Amino acid sequence: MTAETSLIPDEAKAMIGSEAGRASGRVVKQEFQRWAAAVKDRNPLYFDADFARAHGYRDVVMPPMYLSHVTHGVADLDTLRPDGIPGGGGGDLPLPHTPRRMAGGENITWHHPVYDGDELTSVRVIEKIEEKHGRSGDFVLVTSRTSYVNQDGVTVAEAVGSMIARP
Amino acid sequence: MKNERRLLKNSTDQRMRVSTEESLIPPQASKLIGTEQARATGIVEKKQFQRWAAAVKDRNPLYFDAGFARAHGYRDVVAPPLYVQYVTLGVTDQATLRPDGTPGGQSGDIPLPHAPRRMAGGETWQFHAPLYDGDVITATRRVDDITEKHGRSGRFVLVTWLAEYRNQDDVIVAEARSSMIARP
Repeated sequence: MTAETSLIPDEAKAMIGSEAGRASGRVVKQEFQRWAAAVKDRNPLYFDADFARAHGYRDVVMPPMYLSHVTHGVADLDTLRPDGIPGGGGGDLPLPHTPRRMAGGENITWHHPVYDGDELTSVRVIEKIEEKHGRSGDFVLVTSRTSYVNQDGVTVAEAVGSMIARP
Repeated sequence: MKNERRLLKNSTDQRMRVSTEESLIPPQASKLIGTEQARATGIVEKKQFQRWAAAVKDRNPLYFDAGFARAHGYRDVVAPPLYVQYVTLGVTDQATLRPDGTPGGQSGDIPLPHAPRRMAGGETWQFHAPLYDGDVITATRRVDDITEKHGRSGRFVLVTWLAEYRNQDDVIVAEARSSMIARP
């Protein structure tokens, strides 16, 4: 494939290695407990402070998978993308030739528990933007690394995720 | 009175006539009048009330813009007044909801076995003080009255509650009078 027909414009390539997004949010116990109840995960580590303390935590802990929801802000319904997601997470990369987006995968490493009242900041860096040729056609694979840091500067988790952009 | 006349005209049998004249309000419900029925505490969270405001499409800058709120005499952004009733809702499992999707508690606990079908009546609010991010709100709710009524579509029970919302400084921030209709 020649440079003229690349699905990845130069302004997208220029973003490799750079910070692509940053957001902050406060951990609220009631929110992560509602989330746990909604996904039917009534783990007492999330609900019972005594149980959590007996297992070495200083209070109830946040369900690990709630992580990415902490830094979501306030979105108006009519500002959502046509597919109902609030954008941001890879949706705002300049890839005009591949407007259709889907989640690739995500690997998350948890380093430290998260508690009610913690202030988390997420920083997302683009690691790779690659053009791929799959059985169903060409696509762009975007890989990014997101670090979640709490108010004490401790990295509580890191996530490496990929996004697939198709023509 | 009207009801009774119609029943007689329809030559309904004696047994049914007796049962419709029985009170819909059992003594164990009547004795709840004047008592505190529920008490709950919750923390006002800015992001939650801002999401609520965005969802009901009320982008009043008093809820979003601290500079604007201060210029209007508040010390920070304020919660939308009607959000106060949601502050004290806790964490509910879907499986414990009533069949109509409401979390129960508020209207489900009054023993009215002869009037199982429930619907909201109305609500009147008074707002006395602003609510800020981080405020701790305690809601208390007591039964004001339980009366049997005879409407055009039949008999029903009207339950009236008085709710009071106080903040961490024991200031009454809001009061609400609400009613619930229970039908046979």
